[in-house]
Amino acid sequence: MTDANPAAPMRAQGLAAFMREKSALRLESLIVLALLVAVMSYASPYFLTLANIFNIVLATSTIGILAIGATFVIGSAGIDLSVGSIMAFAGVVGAMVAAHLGLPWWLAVPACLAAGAFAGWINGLIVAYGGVPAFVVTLGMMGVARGVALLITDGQAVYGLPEALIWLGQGRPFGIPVPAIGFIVTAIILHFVLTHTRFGRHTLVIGDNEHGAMAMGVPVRSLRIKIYALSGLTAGLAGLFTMARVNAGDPTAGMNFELAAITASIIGGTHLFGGRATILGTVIGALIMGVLQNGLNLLAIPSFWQQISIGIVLVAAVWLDQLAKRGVE
Amino acid sequence: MKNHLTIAALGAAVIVAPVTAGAETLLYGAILKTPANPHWNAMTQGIEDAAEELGVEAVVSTVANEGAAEQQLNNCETMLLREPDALIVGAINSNILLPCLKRASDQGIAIVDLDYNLDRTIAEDAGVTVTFTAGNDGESTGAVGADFVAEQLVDDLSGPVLVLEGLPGNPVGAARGKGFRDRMAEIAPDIGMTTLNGDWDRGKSANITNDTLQRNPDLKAVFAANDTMALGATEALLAAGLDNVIVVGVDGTSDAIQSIKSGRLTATVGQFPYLVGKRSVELLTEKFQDHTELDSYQSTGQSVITQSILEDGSDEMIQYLR
Repeated sequence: MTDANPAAPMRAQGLAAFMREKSALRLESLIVLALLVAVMSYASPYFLTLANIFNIVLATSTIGILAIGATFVIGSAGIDLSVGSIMAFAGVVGAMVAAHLGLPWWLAVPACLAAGAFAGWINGLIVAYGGVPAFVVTLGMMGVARGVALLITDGQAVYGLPEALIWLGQGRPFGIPVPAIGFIVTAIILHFVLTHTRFGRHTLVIGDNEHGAMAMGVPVRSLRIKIYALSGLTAGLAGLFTMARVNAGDPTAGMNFELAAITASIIGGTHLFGGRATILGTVIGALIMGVLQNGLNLLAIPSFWQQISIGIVLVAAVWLDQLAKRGVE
Repeated sequence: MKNHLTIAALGAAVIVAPVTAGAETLLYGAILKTPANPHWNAMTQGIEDAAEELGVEAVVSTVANEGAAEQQLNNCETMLLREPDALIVGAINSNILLPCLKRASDQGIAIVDLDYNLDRTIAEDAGVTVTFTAGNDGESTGAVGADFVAEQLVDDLSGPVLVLEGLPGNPVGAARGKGFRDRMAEIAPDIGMTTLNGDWDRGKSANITNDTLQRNPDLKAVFAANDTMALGATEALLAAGLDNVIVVGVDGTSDAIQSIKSGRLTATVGQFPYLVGKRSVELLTEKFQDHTELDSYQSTGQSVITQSILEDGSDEMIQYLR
């Protein structure tokens, strides 16, 4: 799918031009989102209200935060199947810190983030130094993180969090739900990390051409460890918001969310085999899924249709992308 | 329990309950779902406690997750090698175990269906004889929930009411939803009801509740086919500043009980899986030792648990909460 020799333009035009090409927003996803919004506004009078827009961003925040992490991983030509499990694991750890150990509530925040980043760091370490394919490593972590979450909770949700912690999930300063703010802030920060830092640029460079990147002196191994740790960190953040929102650390939370996160990222234009990714695209991809779910819920359409429509949008978005590319050529 | 979970979390587990000596000890093999679900942990406890009390032997096998149907079939085949007197089965779906259960039936092994997981018609067509079904059928559970909700809303039975079913295609969630809707429509023919799938998931149910509030800001009640979804709905409603919406779940899980105690969740239709497991073993033992003829459907009881019942202990069923 990529150019015959992806490293060639990089050398010829330099990193800046490479980034312009590889992190340009694909318009297709934006068009799909606009169409969906138009259709839903027509179909339901409750859709296009400020309250419902906040509501959609809130509902999208979990998958959206996971998808932002996934965008770095997929952009580097990797894959992370463990984020749904890591999210549950981090949420359980945070809830136990706040509800069972009698520690100050705010310690749950670093506990969630550290638990997530730690699991991701282990993924990265094994991918980078063990030579085990990322698919296998993260598939293993998917089982391990879920199993540990069930083990330390005896399979029971950790219920009854301190009010201050619940606010992180249920609070609405200026009417905006806290997880929605968290999602937007995460997107802005990681957009700048992807486009304006060496770490971000190198992420796409190794995704585009790992051997070329090595030849250029990019520290591929340490970069991969950081990328998977970042994915774990975002999973920890998603776990924190979800736990606070439902007032429980649920070891069964986030089942299959890894696939939803990958779907959002791909709909948003991230190249499945790496080298091309935008955070804005991923946010749009996640919002497309959120708008579909919200609209179909407003219309009380059974969730069979949600699954069917998300599947169709996924394939259609990538297809449109291919058509556009052929048109350019 | 912790031990069982340790083993089970790593894969399938086979646990042997205390063995009573004697050549003619009755042996029951339980083929259950995953210990990751507290429902099946309570069921295991009930089976093991009753077995110990009655001096029979119970072997419990579990699988890694709710979808591990093939693993459950393997557990069933392995269990037959022990030549049990009865199989106590919480089938993952109504088909997967049929070849194994057919062989068990042919060998004269009694089969107990837990929680209506086997479809009797399909089972009988496949040559499987079910001795009895223990638990509560989903439609009756939904009806109990509807009666309670109607009682709470008695002054204004116009709705709207949100019904949350489980994963699409899951018969238990669908039956509970149908039972609720049917009874509700009997009591209040004009009540507005919306049904959506919460997929048994807290976060998803919270999202659906928020979405429904956009359309029905005057939402009166939520009935969820299990406690996990009811708790998701409860937290979404509280976050939206609504503390007078009736929310009713099903099961009686420990977090639901805590939530009811603290005045968040309104009520749950308790299923007492501990009692389902215990009664199965007791009934089987009556059948074998006293040659009692058993009814084909054995209701193990369900009751609505509210904050006041938990405070004054006015329902003796709450002793069976686990």
